Amino acid sequence: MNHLKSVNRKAVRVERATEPDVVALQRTGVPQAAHFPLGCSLVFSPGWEADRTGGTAGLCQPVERDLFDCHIGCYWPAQVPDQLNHAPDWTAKCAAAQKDWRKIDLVFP
Amino acid sequence: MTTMKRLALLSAVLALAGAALVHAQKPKPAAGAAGNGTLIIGAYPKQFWIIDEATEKIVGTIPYQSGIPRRTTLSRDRKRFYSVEAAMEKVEIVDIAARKTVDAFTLSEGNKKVRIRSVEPDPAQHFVMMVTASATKLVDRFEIGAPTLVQYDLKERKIIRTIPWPNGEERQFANIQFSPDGKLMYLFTDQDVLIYETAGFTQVDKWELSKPIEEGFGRIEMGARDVFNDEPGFYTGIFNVADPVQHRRMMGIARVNLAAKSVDFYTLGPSTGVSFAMAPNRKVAYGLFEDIGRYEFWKFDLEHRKFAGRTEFKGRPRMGLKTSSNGKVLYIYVAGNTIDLYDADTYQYLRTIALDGDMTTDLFVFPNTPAEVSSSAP
Repeated sequence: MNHLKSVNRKAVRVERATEPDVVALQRTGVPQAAHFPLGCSLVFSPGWEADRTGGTAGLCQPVERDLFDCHIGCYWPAQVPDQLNHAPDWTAKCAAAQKDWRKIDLVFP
Repeated sequence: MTTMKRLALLSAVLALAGAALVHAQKPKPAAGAAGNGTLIIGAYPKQFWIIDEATEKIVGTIPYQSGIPRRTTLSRDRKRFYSVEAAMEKVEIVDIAARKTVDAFTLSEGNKKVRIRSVEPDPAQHFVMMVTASATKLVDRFEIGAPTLVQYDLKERKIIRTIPWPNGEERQFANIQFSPDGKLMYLFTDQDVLIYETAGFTQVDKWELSKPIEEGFGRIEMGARDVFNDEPGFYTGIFNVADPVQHRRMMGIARVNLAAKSVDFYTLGPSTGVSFAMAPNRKVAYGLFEDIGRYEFWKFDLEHRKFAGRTEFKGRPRMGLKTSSNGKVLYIYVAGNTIDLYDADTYQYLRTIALDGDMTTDLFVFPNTPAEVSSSAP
């Protein structure tokens, strides 16, 4: 049952993107990954600490390994400060997140 | 024994001992030596690291002035990087030998920010092709521009042409290659390869890859490739194809001759998502299969046109793959500050190169030593 009605162009696109979300059981090639239509303005992804299947086993280990890539890629902007608008200098005192993450700046809303 | 004989014996013993000492001091090649090339990779906070492949030590840096280096393209002559910084507003042109920035430009001005999504220099480096998208801050809203394919003249320092998207279909990124002489530009789309002459950028030809290359064959879809080690004018990589009757998806290797518009394709097996990194000798290539909790090295025998095996290894989520300059070592990089080295024959883990900053660009493996890379500095 569809409870939501798209009212602008972006919502129409999101709705269109979720149309093919039913995957049949036959395998016709590369396994279908779960499709998450919502997220940041650049990339649609689930929240921090969830991989493409909704689990955690596919995340970078340790998680600091992925921290800076998410920062400059605006991958999880709700959980990692984004460098485009809000915290361009977040990593200025720390070049390697796994080594010296304690030096990363605190960001307050 | 006479005194003379004793002296002669003593000098012979000393000579032997000296020779043994010299031999012991001569550096032996390390197990799994990767070659005598140079690795260069962009990293936090704002530089490219230069690593001596033989010693696996950082031997220098190239300062980056515009912020954090991100999407980086190597010029055809392998002397310059064209690097878009992380905020995607500036392009910095870096002279690798001189280890310095020679030019930088931005398209943003005032309240209009222009994000540069990709940059591709022509072989003569007179201009670059870029995909850009603008965001203009107005009083009450942001006005977001459409992705645009533009030609930017490096001498005049301005956009001199906008190339319409094929069929009017906007794209976020463009897969572009130039012919070795730079006279033609190949724009790869999902269905076709559009060929433009680079003097006036009119479309002169269209190569319909969407049509099967032979009867009964499905259309081939381009997959992963390795531009760095490929021959100019060719496009080698993993392609997928589905037969039109049973719709089974198969993967294979194709070597595309852009000038002759021909495809040399052979299938390897059922379609699987695998990356592609070609060894410098172009006789073998490697791939990474990544599933959650399962990582495999794949090997492709390009010379004998066959799949050469797959080996599971203890990888790490999010990996990039490159071969060393002599093809004997595989580099695993991306995400974090470490490059893991694996033996290309046995796939055994060898050791790790630790950097002082997290990696932000592709890894470039040059066959020349760091001294040779720097020797052509002006």
